[in-house]
Amino acid sequence: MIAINVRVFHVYAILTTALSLLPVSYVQAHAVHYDVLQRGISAKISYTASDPVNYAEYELFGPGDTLPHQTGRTDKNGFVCFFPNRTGIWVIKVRGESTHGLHGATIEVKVDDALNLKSFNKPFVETLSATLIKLFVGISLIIGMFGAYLILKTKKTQRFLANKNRNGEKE
Amino acid sequence: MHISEGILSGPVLLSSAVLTASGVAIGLRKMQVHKIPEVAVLTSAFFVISLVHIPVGPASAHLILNGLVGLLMGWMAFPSIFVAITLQALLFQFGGFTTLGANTLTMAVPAVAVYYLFNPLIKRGNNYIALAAAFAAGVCGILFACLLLTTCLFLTTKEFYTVAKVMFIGHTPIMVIEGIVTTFCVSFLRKVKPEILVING
Repeated sequence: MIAINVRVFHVYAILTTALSLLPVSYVQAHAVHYDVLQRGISAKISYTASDPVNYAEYELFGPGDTLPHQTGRTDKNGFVCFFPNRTGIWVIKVRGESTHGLHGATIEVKVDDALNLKSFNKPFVETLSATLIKLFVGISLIIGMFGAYLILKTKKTQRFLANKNRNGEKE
Repeated sequence: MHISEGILSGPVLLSSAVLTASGVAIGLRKMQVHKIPEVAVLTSAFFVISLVHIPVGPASAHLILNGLVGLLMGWMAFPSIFVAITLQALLFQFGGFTTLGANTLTMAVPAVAVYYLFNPLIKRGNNYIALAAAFAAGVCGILFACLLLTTCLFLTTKEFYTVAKVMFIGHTPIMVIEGIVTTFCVSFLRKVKPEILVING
């Protein structure tokens, strides 16, 4: 009789311990823990020095990733922040929208072994002087293209007139 | 008013590219030697003016000047606008390379239409009629461009109504401003160099 009671007691003890652990695991599975770290890499995206690409869609790809590691929108000031988990080249693809339509930018960020920023592909920064340089280049190209067309057309016209004169003289 | 990559469907992109190529070929054929420097200057103006932004409520829109380009160049507007839009895509990433045909078409067809509608009035009419025609040319250049863009969007997706509405509302002040700018330019050219308004289309 005593032996049976001891066995029942053991089963009871095991069951109670198991049941008492259940709520703990339940709580652990659904709790959200957080930590705040002063780490990570941030990229600022802008149309010009004073015009950020804010609230624009972006996708972040880790080295060799085919699916995005992170997606979202840039913040109010045009920032994308991420925390790399491996070394290599991380790619941020941003799609900003302005009055000229959608503008895409691809930023390549090299991350070193310590998961810190090593380097990134430097863009042609859209300052006022850069815009003016582009305008100057554009106008020069336009004048150059039409200048070349003018020379070609003049030569063609001269050749046509010369042939016409020659035929006239023969007749 | 540039159409970005990935918005229009393949058939729309292809047909607009073919139409633009035809327009450019006609424009080049009609381009007389003495007109080429004028075309170059107007192309430069068209290229630069897209950077002049005008605040419209919470957003902003930019000047286009396709009405003026059409009035002064007729069919030659096609190669002019094509070159300017290509350089805008190349240097400023406005629009895109696959949409060059559609973007050129939406700007150049209104320019040619404006030329046929209003150039005779400007050439032959009295001063008041000429200035009224110039204003209408500036307004219609943008209005027709909006209509063409809406057509391109309609042929691609049926969910174009909101975009079209926003575009028309956003460009209404631009129509008025372009009308005023075109009126001033035509008034100045009629006094200083009236022969520039006489072209063979």
